[in-house]
Amino acid sequence: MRRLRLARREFLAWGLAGAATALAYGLWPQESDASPLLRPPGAQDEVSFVSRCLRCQECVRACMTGCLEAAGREYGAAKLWTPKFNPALAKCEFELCGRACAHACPVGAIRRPDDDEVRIGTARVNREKCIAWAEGKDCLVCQERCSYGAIEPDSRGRPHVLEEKCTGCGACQNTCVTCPDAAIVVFPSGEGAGRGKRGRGRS
Amino acid sequence: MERKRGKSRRSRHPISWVRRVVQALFLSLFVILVWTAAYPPGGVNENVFLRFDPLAAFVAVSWSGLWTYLLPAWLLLLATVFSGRFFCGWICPLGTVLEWTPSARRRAVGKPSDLRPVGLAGRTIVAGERRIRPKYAFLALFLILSLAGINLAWVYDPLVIANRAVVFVLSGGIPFLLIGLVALAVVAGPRFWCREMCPLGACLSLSSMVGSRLPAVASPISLVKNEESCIHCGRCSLACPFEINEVADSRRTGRLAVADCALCGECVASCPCEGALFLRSFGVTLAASGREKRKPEGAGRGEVDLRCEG
Repeated sequence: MRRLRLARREFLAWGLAGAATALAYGLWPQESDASPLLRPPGAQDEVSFVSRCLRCQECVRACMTGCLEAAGREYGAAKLWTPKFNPALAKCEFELCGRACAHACPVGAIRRPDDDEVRIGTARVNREKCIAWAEGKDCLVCQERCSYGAIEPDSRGRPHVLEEKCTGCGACQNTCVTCPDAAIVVFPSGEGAGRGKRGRGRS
Repeated sequence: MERKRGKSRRSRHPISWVRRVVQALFLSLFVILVWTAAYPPGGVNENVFLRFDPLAAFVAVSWSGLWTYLLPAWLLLLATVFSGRFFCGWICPLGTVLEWTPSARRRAVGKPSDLRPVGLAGRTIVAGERRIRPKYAFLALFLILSLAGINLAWVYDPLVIANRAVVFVLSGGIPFLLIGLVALAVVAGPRFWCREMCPLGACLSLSSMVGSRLPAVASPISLVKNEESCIHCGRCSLACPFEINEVADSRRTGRLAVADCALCGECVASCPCEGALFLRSFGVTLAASGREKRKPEGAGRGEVDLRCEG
C-alpha cells in the first residue's frame, strides 16, 4: 500500500483557513435595517431551513410570480443567497402555482403544508406611513387586494390586520401606494417564529 | 484543445473527441434543465443533477423520506465504487467548464532529480511527494459543519455553484464563485479545483478507493494497463489533467484504480504504444492506446524530456 504523508505545515494552514472561514461566517455583520427576511411558503423553521438550503436558486427560478430572490449580504454570510420572498417584487400565489418552489427544491428544505396551514408571515400596518392612518385619506387598497379577508377597516376607514387570517402572501404590501416603501409590510411569524427581533411595526 | 502539448502534433485520438462531445452534451443538458426549471414545472425533475449530488444528499438525509428522493446520489456513490470518478471526467458541468478554460499555467512535472531511469525508453515520472490533498480537509470540514447544522454546500459544492451561476446569469446577476473558480483555473491549471479542492471530488475519490480492488470486468468504466507493452515514456502522466503519476508507474498492471482518476482517457489518447492502455467497460474495450503505430525503440521519440513543458 502506498504511504500517505501528511505535511504538517500544510494541514495547519488548511485548518487555519477553515477556522477563518467559520469565524467570518459567524461574525459577518448583519445589517439591522434590512427588510424582513421572509421564506418561501412551507419553508422549515429558520434554523433547519438555513442548515438545509443549498442556495442553488432552483426555487427562485421556479417561482410563478417571480416573488423570490437571492438574499443579499445584508442578512449575513450564513444566509447569503438563500431564497427570500420579497412582496415588493410580487405576491406569493401559493394556492395557484402548485408549490413550484417546493417542487423545485432538491433537498426538501421547502415542504408542502396544506394551503390553510401556510403562514409565510403576518402583515403589519405602519401607522406613521399609511395614508389612511397618518393623513386621514380614503385608502383601503390593501383590503381590496387581500384574498383572505385579513384586513378590516375600522369606523374611520383605517386598515387593521386580522393576524389569524393573514397568510403573509404579500398582496397588500405589493399593492400599497406609499412611496418609496409600502406602509403595510409582511413580517416573519408563525412557522418562522424566533425571528421577531425586527418586529417593530404595530398593527 | 484546452492545453497545447508541444510534443503531440498528431491528430487526436477518438476517445478525446468522444469525451468532449459527451461533456458538451451534459453541460448543455445542465443549462437546459436550469432554463426549463422556470414556471411551470415540466414533467421531468429539473433538479435532477442536484439529486445526483452526494453532498446535497448528506445535507438532506436527516429529513425523512429523502433516502429515496435522493436515491440518484447514492447510486452515483455506488457507481463510483465500481468505476472511479467518471462523473468528474465526463459529466460534471463545472469540471467541463474548468477543463475548457484556457490556462496560463505550465505543468510542472518534477525536478530532474525526481526522475529515475526505468525500462527501455529512459524515464518514468517517479511518484513525487505524497500529501493529503486539501479537498479531503474541505470534505471533512463540510461533513463536520453539516452535522453541526452549518451548511457549506453553497460554497463548496460544484453542482450548486454551477446551478446558481446559470440562474444568476439567466436573471442578469453575476456568478462570483464561478468567476473565481475560472480565475483559479487560469492561474493554477484547468483541473486544479477538481484535483485539489473539490469536496465532491474528494467524496468520489474516497468511494473510488473503496472499490480499488475490484476487477475491470465488474466496472462500467475502467482504465486498464498492460505492463508488457509499456515503454515508460511518461506521456500518460504528462497528458493527465489530474496530474496522476501512477499511470506511468512501472509496477502496475491490470485495472488502474487510482483514487483521483477521472477515467477521461487522455492517457490512453497520449500513449504511443499499441496495447498498453485501455479504457474498458465490463471488460469490453472502448478505447485502446497506440492508434498510430510508433516504434518504441526509436531512441529520440520514445523518450520524453520531462523538463520541457508539455
